[in-house]
Amino acid sequence: MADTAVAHVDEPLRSAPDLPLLLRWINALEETTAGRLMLTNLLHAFRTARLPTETLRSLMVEFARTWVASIGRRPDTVVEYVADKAPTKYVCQPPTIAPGCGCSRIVDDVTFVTHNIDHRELPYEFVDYVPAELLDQIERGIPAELLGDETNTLRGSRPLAWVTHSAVIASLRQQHSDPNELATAVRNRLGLAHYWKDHRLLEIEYPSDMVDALAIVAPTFIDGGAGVLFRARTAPDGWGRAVDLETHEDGLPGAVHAPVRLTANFRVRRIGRVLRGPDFTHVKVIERAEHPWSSMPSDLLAFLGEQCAQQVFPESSMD
Amino acid sequence: MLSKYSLNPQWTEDDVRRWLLTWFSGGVCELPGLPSQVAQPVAVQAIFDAEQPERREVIKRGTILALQDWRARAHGFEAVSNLARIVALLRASSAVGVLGSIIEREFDQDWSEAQSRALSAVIATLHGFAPALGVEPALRRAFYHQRCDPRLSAQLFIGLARCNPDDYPLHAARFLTLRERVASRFMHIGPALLRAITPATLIERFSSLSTDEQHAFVDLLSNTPSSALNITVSQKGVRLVWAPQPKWQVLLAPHPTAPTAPYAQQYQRLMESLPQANINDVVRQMASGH
Repeated sequence: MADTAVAHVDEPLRSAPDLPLLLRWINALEETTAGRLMLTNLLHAFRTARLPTETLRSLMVEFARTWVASIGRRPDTVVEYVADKAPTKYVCQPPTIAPGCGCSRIVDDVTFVTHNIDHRELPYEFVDYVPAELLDQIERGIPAELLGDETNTLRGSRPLAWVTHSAVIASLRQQHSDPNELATAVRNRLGLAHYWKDHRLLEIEYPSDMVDALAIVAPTFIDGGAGVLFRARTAPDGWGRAVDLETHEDGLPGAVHAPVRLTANFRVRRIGRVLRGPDFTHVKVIERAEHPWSSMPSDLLAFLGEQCAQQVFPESSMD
Repeated sequence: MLSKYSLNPQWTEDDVRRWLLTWFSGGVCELPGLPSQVAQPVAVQAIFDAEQPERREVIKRGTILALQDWRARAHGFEAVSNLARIVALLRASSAVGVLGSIIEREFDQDWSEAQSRALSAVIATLHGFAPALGVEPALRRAFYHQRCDPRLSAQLFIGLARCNPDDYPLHAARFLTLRERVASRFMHIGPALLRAITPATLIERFSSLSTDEQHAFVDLLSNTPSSALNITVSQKGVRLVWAPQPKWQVLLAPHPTAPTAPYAQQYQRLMESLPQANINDVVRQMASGH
């Protein structure tokens, strides 16, 4: 049912019998702090018109339908599940901007090796760490002939990649002489809450010719999904802002782009090992948002339609 | 944040098997909210690390069950690649036999690029368990399989060499034969080879290689950036010298000049004694001042 439902994504909400489902989905999100953070980011997209109205409306219906169809699925995870089925339509959505500066991606070493290294040509063992000799070779530069075809792209398990300013990483390098303190600082300032203790971080610096052609966007709740800690924000420079895991305030600039091919011109550098787990709460992340979610706001409710308000609200009528 | 992820406490190893095979075959991941910016095996490792010891064993056994159940047509090559990497990250050494059998089974099929990449992950994982019991026979069977994919030959050769470094010359001929079918490849394997067998063993057993093999290996090592490995090829043959300390590098430089004059005679003696002498003994003696 989840798969076939995508075909209905453009169906107008007003005429659909999906309104109770939609509000049940929102209610389910409200039950967890992670869900309320997603609603906070959704509200940001709505109030800043970050996404076209029709896209937002039809997507929300689709999220609700998919969630109801897949019993037991957490309500926030349907966002990326639905969006990733049609990434060009929903992921990394305009307006795009030119980075205007050097770009770097921060990733753990094992993920980089898993996605981007051909063990047939660099025949090291795969274990629970990346051998120092392999990291040495990667840092010296991987010859183009070892990088394979266009399927070797920079991305996570979703069809997008997060980047920040190379200059801010360089600045942090100057502030922290100890590589592990540096890694911990980078993790905290970029809000990379999914990196726990002992993860070794790498900086992948984009070549200037790639940056010139790169189309990046300030991330939306769809790009953030359920798998990263993310607070929607579009700064005057057009970039988003990460959550600083120590202060809960804005951290370093962050943006996303569609997967790009890894070439020999990318420069990879070790950062260090993260020293300790992150210390943050979703509640504080939400409190410092531009549009923190507390309960269904009237403007979003109106957007969802008078029909919604009359037929489904209050909550007691939804079950 | 990763530490908050955990298995459903009711899950058995069979549930883990079903979860992984479904997820990696393009289905729903039953554990929601896993970090999307890390590779899937890294996310599973994070769950594993956060679990209690008993639950960790459930994840290990479930992963191995998933590997046993894996079929190319049903689950796809991405799935076996992910499962193998999880086995590596969890150090699930009980999977060695299953990994070996997958390689042999797949060699009997037609080789595709997707298959070759997936088997590369399986071999890299197997290699990571060397020299554990069962690794060497599994790698050997794959390496000498009549339908061995030559694109995988460097991995298999280096894996075998790591199991028994002294025996690397025994496998050299097979490796070079397979390599002829993918001639432009493997020009950057030097550091991985040296890591597997150590430079000392490379040198000590180098004379066991035929002259042609020696020259082929010099080619393969030519892109090794280590300044500690000194390779010279002359009419007298191939000479390899390993000098891991900076002062030895000066000592063994091809043309020692005035600042290193005190060592010049020793260097000359050393070079003249090649390749018959045990280079490492000589180097050790010189380093200790004898």
